[in-house]
Amino acid sequence: MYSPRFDYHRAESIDHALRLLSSLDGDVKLLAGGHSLVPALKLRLASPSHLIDISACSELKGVREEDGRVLIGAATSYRELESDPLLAARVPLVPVVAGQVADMLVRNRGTIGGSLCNSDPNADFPVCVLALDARLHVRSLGEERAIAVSDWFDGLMSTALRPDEVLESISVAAPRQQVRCGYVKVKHAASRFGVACAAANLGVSGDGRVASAAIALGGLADHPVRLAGLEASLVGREAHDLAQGLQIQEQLAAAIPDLPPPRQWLLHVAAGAIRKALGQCTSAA
Amino acid sequence: MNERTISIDVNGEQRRVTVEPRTLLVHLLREQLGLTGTHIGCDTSQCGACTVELDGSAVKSCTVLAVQCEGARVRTVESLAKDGALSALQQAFMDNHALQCGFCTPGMLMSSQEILRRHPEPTEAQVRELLDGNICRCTGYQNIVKAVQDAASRIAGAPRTVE
Ligand SMILES: Cc1cc2nc3c(=O)[nH]c(=O)nc-3n(C[C@H](O)[C@H](O)[C@H](O)COP(=O)(O)OP(=O)(O)OC[C@H]3O[C@@H](n4cnc5c(N)ncnc54)[C@H](O)[C@@H]3O)c2cc1C
Ligand code: FES
Ligand code: FES
Repeated sequence: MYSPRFDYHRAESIDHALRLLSSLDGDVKLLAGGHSLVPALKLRLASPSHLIDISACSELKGVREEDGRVLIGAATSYRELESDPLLAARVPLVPVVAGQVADMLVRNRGTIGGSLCNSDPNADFPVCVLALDARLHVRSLGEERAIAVSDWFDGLMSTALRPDEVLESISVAAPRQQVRCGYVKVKHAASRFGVACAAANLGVSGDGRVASAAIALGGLADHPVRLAGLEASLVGREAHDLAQGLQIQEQLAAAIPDLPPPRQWLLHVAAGAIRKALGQCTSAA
Repeated sequence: MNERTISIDVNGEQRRVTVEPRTLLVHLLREQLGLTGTHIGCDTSQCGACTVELDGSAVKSCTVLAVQCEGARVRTVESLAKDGALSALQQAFMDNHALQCGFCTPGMLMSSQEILRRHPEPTEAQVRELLDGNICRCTGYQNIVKAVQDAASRIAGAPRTVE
């Protein structure tokens, strides 16, 4: 199928992209991996007048550690995230999640930044970065700001990003403790997106107890949610015995009170995903 | 409207082509360059019949704009056979009965090429996991998986040839 007509611009740098963003008229969209945008164009769900291709901007790619934070360029592909040694050592949840997005072919093109800007409620990276308390670094002409991931998601497929801004990178505090992580998604049989996606990221202290816990769940609401009650009940537990006696389904029901039908089934599936994600944290011991 | 002329290396031949920005790579290959080995099986980026190699990675060519390929290197299924002789992978597909109607086969072959680059001796689980983006409605996958593993051992067993 043919998409509506548009004009195409290849940005050579972030500044170039920002200048194009501010000078072009009409509906202007950035193009990264294109694996949400191109399908949307083909189905005519989007009809921008201009596309600015940022996939060739080397400044938007790669992973590095700086000032106690691990920075990931927004246009880094899932494939690169899957196999990045710095991430494997410092923020293992990212490669674990990257390896589970879609399929090999999509992972060769799709980017972390595209996923976060697209903000699909059933996608993988929104859940992942929420569990990591990440910051999203955005830039417009003459302004830079860092947005806490808790302020990023703004209703269904909508974010705090303004139309004149580019997402430049995502950063995560480099861990001071040993980290254990787990990620489980229950896939929709046809689309393979997550019906429920559960991410667990735990800091474990020298005595083998959980010092900090982050549990994020995607798929059940407009955007992923953190489960503060469950996190609190994990802190202080022995890391080799996490899920024992936890009231996961009850905590979930309280955290997402307005879940549509089939409510009981969704709670059951999501609780199972969380239990398995905690199991992965345990077996990584 | 806003047509662009791009240079692109397709199967080792440098081509200059004029495309609309909305032209998909798969349309450029099939309709302008006549390389109809690359198939279109869906409109939703899901089937993988259109898989080609773009700058060394397997991609769904129905989800890449042709204009994005300025200066790129593209390899399609037509690049596999040399001087009329099937590649080891193609021969393994044939010998293992890894195709029935053949519609998915070009995509299966191009994805399998990448699997063999990543894992010269892939396990069954690796082949199954990495072929997840390629749908076959005929074979039930069993023989495709076997063919990829068979190709791996043929390539390992064969004397190295210089290109
Ligand atoms: C068959 C298939 C299966 C998939 N399955 C899954 C799955 O299981 N899980 C999952 O999470 N995803 C899945 N996806 C979606 C995939 O992960 C997309 O690649 C991703 O959602 C978007 O990333 P992209 O780089 O391709 O972005 P694009 O499609 O290029 O862009 C998406 C949106 O983000 C904007 N954007 C992109 N980058 C920036 C930036 N740096 N700054 C500002 N705005 C930006 C664009 O303007 C656009 O609106 C699937 C896609 C396909 C085709
Ligand atoms: S034609 Fe189906 S994925 Fe490209
Ligand atoms: S052989 Fe018919 S679709 Fe695979």
